[in-house]
Amino acid sequence: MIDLKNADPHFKWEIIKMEGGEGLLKCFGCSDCAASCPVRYFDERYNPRKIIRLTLLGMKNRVLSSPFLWFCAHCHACTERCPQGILVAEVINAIKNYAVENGYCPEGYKVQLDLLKRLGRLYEVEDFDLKKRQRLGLPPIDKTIPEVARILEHTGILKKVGQ
Amino acid sequence: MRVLVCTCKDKIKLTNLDLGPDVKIEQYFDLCKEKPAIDSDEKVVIAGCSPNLLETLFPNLNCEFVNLYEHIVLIGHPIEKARDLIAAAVEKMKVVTPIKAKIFTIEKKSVVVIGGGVAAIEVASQLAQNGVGVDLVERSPFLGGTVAQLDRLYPEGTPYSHTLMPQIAKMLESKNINYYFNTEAKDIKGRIGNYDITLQTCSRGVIDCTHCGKCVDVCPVEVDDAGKMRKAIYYVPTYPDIYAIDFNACTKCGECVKVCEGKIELEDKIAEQNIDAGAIVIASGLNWYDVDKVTEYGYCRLPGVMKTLEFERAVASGVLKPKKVVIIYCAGSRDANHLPYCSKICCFLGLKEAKLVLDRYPETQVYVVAMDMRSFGTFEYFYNKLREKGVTFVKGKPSEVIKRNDSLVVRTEDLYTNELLEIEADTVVLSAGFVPDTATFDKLGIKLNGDFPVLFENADLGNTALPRGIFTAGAATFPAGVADSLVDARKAAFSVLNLFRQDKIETKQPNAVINEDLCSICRMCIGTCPYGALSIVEEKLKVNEELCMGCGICSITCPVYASQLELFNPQGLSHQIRTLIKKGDVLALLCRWSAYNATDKAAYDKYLYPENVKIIRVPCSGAVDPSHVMDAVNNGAKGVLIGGCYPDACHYARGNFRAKAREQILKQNLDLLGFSRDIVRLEWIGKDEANKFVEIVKEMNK
Repeated sequence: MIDLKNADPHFKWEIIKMEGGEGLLKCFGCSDCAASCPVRYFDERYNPRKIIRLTLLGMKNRVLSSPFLWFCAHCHACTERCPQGILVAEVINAIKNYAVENGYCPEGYKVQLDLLKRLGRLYEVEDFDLKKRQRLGLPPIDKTIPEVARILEHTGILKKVGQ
Repeated sequence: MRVLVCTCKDKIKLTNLDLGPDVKIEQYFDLCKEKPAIDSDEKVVIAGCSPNLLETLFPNLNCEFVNLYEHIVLIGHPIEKARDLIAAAVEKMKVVTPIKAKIFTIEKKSVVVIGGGVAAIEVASQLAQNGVGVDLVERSPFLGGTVAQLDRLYPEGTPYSHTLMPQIAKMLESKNINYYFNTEAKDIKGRIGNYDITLQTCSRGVIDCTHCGKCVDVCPVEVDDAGKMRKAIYYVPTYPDIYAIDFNACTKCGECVKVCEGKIELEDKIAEQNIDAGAIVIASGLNWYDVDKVTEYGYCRLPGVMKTLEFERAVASGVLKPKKVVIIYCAGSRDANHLPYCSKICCFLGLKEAKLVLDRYPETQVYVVAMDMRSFGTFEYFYNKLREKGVTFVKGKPSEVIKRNDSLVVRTEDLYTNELLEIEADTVVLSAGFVPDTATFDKLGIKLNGDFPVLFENADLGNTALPRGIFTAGAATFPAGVADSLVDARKAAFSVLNLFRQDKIETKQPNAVINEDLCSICRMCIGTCPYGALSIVEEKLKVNEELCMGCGICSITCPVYASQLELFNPQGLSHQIRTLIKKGDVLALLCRWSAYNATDKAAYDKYLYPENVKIIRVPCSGAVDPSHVMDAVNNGAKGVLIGGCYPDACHYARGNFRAKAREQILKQNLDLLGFSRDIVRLEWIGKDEANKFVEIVKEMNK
């Protein structure tokens, strides 16, 4: 049940202020986005209309802590068809950004960030990989890229997710 | 100059008003009752209550209104402010061009009705009964328009002929109607009371007809006429009782000529003729939206996807016997990528098609997929009846129609259960929206706002953008059902009769006037006029007095102020601002249609604002020049607010967009001159948004 006692009436206005979230209020709930979504044909629990609806109702905690928020593949099929001209994928993106800024980052993303910070890559380069490259006649690569960590620090993302 | 001040039964307590020797001040206890004589050529200033009231009591005058009651007394400002406001109005009146009365004589008292559908027939017969000569100009060879293509009419399912045929029979009783079939108005010249219309008539092919029907039997060409097959020579059972040849399809094989008992000429000739009229009624009806632009629904691409009209004709004529039908609503309507509006009648058309197919083949499964069902008023009964008949209504907007294993699949989400839904069907019907037929409006030079004539936007404002001799009936301005079209047609007929009652009409609506000595014919104003009222005639810029609505946008656009609106010119406003604004004031230049009304509302609702906020009424936010803002800034204004209507609600079509564009330039200039760019604000303030206005001026006053 949606309990509006827990609703935050400012939530939608905060999302609108985010980059990409501008069109949110135009939604009249036709469900064209939900019917167009290819992700939804694999997992029906993901529903962009529902995310937007709950955002409009102000169910901040429920939207941000939901794991389904992170299912969007950014194919923009919904953006193409939205009759109100809402950039639906951008709105979802804005909610994601808002979630990260407010400490709702999912564990998977945190692990990836940790890898990026340590290695500068999403995977570890081992001696085995270097040998393979040598055999193929490719130049060796650095095992870590420290510049990436500096970039991450500069953007402030690490602080936001508490690393 | 006379200044008439109303104390509104001593509610306005004036102190000493001395404005110099040229200004004669007259005080009245109750101006509305006393109604002093004012010469209509004389320039006066009337101070009292809101101009919205005074304007109706003192129409057609060369006067500027000063609002003492709402802007001073009600909100508790010191009465000394009245002196400044009146002095500024006097300064303005000194330089403005006075209004010239415009007289239109109505020489010809006959009407041209463009169109041949239900609305046109109703207008023509109503006018002819009242003794007005009518020329009815129809593009197709037969009367009836869209209605004659239908099988039945919603909601009762009346056969189309039961509505149309009695109407035609009634019209044929009147003798003073001339009919022009296969004819279009090629060119329309002139003005109210005296129009000269060039008609272009294509030949009908059949000259003399005994109605034997042999020609149809021998004609080898089959034509798909919106879902129903017919031959290239055909007949629609309305009027006239003569067959016609569709020359777009005819191969001129000559078979029909051989069997004809009458006379057929297979020559595609075009003839022209001129007719006169005092007024024009446009009843050109509507067109179906090109639903093939909604590519995801596959119209034209997938066989079995059709429009409502095609489906209706195909089912009614027995060509199509569907087993499972999906009717998709709002195909291309209420959609930012297609038609942004609701066409009002397509919901019922969809319901009608559902009922039609169930009446004929009761075992058919019918699904209606609609994001909203808009069955207002008594039509709710129609909707209820169809649910009882077993139609399944699905709430949702389908994402696409695809083809799978020889059947069509409509993919949607069922909003009631929140689950994805795929409906397999053999026929998909698209209930598409409508666009009006705008060919005649284009010929008259009436600019359209989106798809519709500007008239529609302003219908409730008493500020119609149509020239005074042009009337509309039926679905020409917005999609309408048969019942609505008939009511609208009677209204149009009444308006024409009302016009023809007079021999001449006189108006004193302010128009733009061109100072030909200053005008260098740079043509900048021609592009900015929302109504296309400006044109170049014999190397001189001319204003079409019938089309000009008095927005003042051209006078601001003109680099040398050669075009000036009567009673409102840039110099006048400039004088007014310079007199009114003192150091530390906030100037509010407010559109008379929206933001100015909000200040009246602020006074009634007691939303108080600081006394250094000075309000000036302008015809449109687009009629404010950057130089006016600079005038105020030079006088030490703390801020300048330009208040206009919301973007889609401009009463002069696009004036507020002009204002928006100017605001950008102005802000850049303010930057260059070293002022803060926040000193000027352009805001959209609705009639009722008193609170918004007060919040803004308070913020600017900080």
